[in-house]
Amino acid sequence: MSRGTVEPGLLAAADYLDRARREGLWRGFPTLAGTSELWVSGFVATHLARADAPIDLAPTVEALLSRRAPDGGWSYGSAVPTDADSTAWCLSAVSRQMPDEESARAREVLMEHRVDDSFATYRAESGIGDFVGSPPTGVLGWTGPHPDVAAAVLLAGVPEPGTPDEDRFLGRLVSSANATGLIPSYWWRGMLYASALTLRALRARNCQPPDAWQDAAAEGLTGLQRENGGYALGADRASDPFTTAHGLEAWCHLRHQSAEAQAERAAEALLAMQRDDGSWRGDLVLRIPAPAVVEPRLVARWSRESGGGNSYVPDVDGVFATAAALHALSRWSRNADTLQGRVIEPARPARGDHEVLIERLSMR
Amino acid sequence: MVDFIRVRTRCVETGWHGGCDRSEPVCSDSQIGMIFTALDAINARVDGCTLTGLAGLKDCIRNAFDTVVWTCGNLGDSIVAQSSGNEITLTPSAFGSTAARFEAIVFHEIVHHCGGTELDSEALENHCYRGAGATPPTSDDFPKFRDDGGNFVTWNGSTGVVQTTAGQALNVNTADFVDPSPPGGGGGGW
Repeated sequence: MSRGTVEPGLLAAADYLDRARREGLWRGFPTLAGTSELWVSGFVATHLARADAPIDLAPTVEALLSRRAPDGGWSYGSAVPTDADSTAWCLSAVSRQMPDEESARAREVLMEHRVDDSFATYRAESGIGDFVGSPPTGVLGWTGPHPDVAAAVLLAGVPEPGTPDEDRFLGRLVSSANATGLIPSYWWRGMLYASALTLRALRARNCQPPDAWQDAAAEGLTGLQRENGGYALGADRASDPFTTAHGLEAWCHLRHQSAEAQAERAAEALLAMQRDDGSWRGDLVLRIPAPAVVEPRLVARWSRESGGGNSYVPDVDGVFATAAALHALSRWSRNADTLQGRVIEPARPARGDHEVLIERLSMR
Repeated sequence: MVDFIRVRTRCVETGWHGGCDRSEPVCSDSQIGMIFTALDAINARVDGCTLTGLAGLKDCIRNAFDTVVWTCGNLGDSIVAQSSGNEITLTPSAFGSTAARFEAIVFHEIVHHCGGTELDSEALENHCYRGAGATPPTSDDFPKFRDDGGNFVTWNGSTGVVQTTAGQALNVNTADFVDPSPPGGGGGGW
């Protein structure tokens, strides 16, 4: 397949997203906190800009700039406290049009979400506990470190490239990969979103993980890839566009002997899923663990579309799927360089104060 | 042989400054001994249990002695063990199992610790410990199988066949892995 063949699909996708926008903003992911405008628009606008999509983003930038929270960040929706993920995506979308001091304040807001060498979605002091009706201990999950959010914050330029902290955050992110070679998300089903964003963040900072890490990631991506080249949600038979888009992007970044061929398979699968109106189908890709849930894997049962804690939330109208697919295909079609630059070693896990090493000899 | 393990501690003597003057492991000597024995046996089992294409997982299992912090205590009803972050909690019920069952429980949790979903842990437990401590999945497991799929294995809910992602069929009782309430359209898939 020629990389040039994606151009009509990209234009159709951009046209679809242009039509889906109202008063400068996209809307999606209905939850008990309402439907998101700000977070969704920050994500979509950032991806369209990165893909050089032919859409005038000025109305979106203007709408996002006018709807910052009083603390200088952004949130899921105007009634919800500021969070790091929304702030990161919105800042990425508007930073070029923002006065320096306002941009600096937004970066401070992001740094206030620092947890160890990662970032939490919410600060305990943000009022999120009151918003969801939980005591401070009831939001431990939402205020813990989230690799999917940390990657978005790093992509928003926080911390500043070249600062001493940079390698600590990147090392922590790289160390989030498990034995599959991939990185589980807190808010997203599967491991491809956080993995692709981590690779994107490394590349944006001219860094790369060690070769062995990239080999393991390639092995994990190969294992999850369906026969048609796409990637699915859970045990679904059909490939999911949003998940496939992140699989494709991950392959585009990796420096691995099979990357080019596997990326082409993923791109073909993604193009085959594009609908006549230019969009891609949105599925139940987002999950909302209850605020106290630290380890989403331990949730016994996820509800569908209730919009509350421990539920899967649909990407209505495929807005996220279409933005992610457009971005990934654009990246693939440009055949940009793979990872290079400074090698970031995974951070070694910090040994806790509340554990003891027991040698076998001492047991005798 | 495993030389050391890491065990969670609790403070048993608080100083005047509010800090902890003395702490002790939350697992007893006999429980710690059982963990050492299980890890030795698991390492031997992993070496003999064919897991084609899962080199990363095997390495992770062998390194569990160093990467896992063990906790001993109670969990919710009917939960015998649990993995969260770098910690694996084993309950009195787990320690009260037969040696074979205890080893399979620890193996199951280590697979979770290494990034495995419920499908991965159940399938690999039933592959490596079939007739030697494994228990079949319960009805509560199947929604998780459908929602999360496998990171190390693929599953056909219609036939119950489970394979590694590299295509090696696992030696599980496929009847145990047939989806009892498949989604519309006739069951899980690859």
